[in-house]
Amino acid sequence: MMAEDLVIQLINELLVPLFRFLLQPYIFVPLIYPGLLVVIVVIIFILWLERKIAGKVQLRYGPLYVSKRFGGIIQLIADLLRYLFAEVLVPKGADRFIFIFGPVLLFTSALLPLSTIPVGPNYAAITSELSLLISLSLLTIPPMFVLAMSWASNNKFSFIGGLREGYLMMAYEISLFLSILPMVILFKSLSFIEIIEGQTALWGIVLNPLAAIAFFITMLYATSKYPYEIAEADTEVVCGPYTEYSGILYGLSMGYAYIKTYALSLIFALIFLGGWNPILWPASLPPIWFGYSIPSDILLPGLMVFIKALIVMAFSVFLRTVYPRYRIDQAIKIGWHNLFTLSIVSVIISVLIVMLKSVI
Amino acid sequence: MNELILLASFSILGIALVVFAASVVGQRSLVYSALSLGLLGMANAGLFALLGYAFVAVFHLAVYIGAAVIFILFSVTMFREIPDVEVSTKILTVITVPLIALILIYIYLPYLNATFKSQYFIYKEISLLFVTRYWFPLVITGLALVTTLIEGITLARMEVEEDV
Repeated sequence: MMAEDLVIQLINELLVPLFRFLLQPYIFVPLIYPGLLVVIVVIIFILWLERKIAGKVQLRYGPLYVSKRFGGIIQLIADLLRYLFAEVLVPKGADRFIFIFGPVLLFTSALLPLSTIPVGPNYAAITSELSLLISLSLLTIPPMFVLAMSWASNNKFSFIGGLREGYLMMAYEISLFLSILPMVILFKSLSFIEIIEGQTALWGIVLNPLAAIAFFITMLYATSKYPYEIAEADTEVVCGPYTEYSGILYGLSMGYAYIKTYALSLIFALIFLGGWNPILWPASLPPIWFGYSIPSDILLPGLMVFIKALIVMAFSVFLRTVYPRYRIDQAIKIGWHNLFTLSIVSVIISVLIVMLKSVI
Repeated sequence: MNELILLASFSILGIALVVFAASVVGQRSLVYSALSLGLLGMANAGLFALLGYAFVAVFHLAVYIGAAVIFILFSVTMFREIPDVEVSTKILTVITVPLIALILIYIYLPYLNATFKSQYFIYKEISLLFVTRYWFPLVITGLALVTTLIEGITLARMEVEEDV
């Protein structure tokens, strides 16, 4: 009897307040989904998927021997543990402060845009009518740390890689903001939730496919994915800005690119692939905990967005196997000449659609 | 509780703002100064957001950090040898700091006990106001920006032609 009382007291005094605290959107979103906890799982999974897809295309196995039954996925956990426990080497002549704190700030700042992503129609950490703009603005912070890290490494390859990252950013940043403008014009809102509500009948990608293409190409630029894997081109600059990094600091730096891919894939799923549409479910399915229906508010819409984002991520990593790498001058030229023009044309298409709608 | 969190956020961001501002002018390394400028911008954007001016905060992040600070950092990292430009400004500092302090005290003293509330705007209404009431300045600004864009593209293309 005493033991039962103790368990009930423990649940009431410890677990219930803990769950109540964790279920608050401003805690759940940055720390659990789509934040930190899911990010770690996604990084492991997408790295495995990238290597597995590359293996299949090039008629190899990819990761296999550690847990053959599961396709070698535990290999990635082993790699993660190796990064965690490997010795961190600081090169002679490097600026120690930025060299050590740079990756930490880079990883943390890359997580910031995820806090603006809504999990469901009634569940978001930031319910601002500018949430889309806030998430894109937060995405512009991390390259600052990449540049500083490349300088702090005191290495020629790191420095060239950092400069390449800066050049690429100048080529894609305007197109990034311009490629979301067509959706803003179509749905007359800068809020994720309102844009998703506007996509119940037709998804953004159907209404304006050019905008979706422009955003996807910009996403490849921003995340240094093939054919724009220029900053970290291993055959030219070893590993670009992260050449001198080892151990956990390298793990954090590498994780940054994948977090950015994940964040931009989520944004793509929300504004072009209908977000949590088209599945309709009852407004509040049980269990309802602390005012939130777990299946209707969090689980089902969150899962739908996550699956769509995962497909976008898988496609972006698949491109590695089929595309060669552009030169930096070619990438800048494509950014300004083609991508910028494509974004402008997609804006014009949206304006025409809105004008046609008002006439009809 | 909310008031306490707000006060703590304001205090942390305020202190960060002063520390990074001092760091911008106090650092000997230009890269550290540029990085401090970026962090100063982030703290500033945070303060704007807390005051309710989310739109200003967003543009502060995108334009000030995403464009200006990155460009500065991009430029200063290219200097292998940082030029030593130490000019003795002690006398100037002794004169200007008390003067600025006195001016700020004169401006803000009447508001010492005043209470301010965060402002929240409906941005759609503001944009509607721009389009209906202030449409002429909006058109002029738009034209000016388009002219600048065309100038930029023309200059860039001219450079390419010269190279060829």
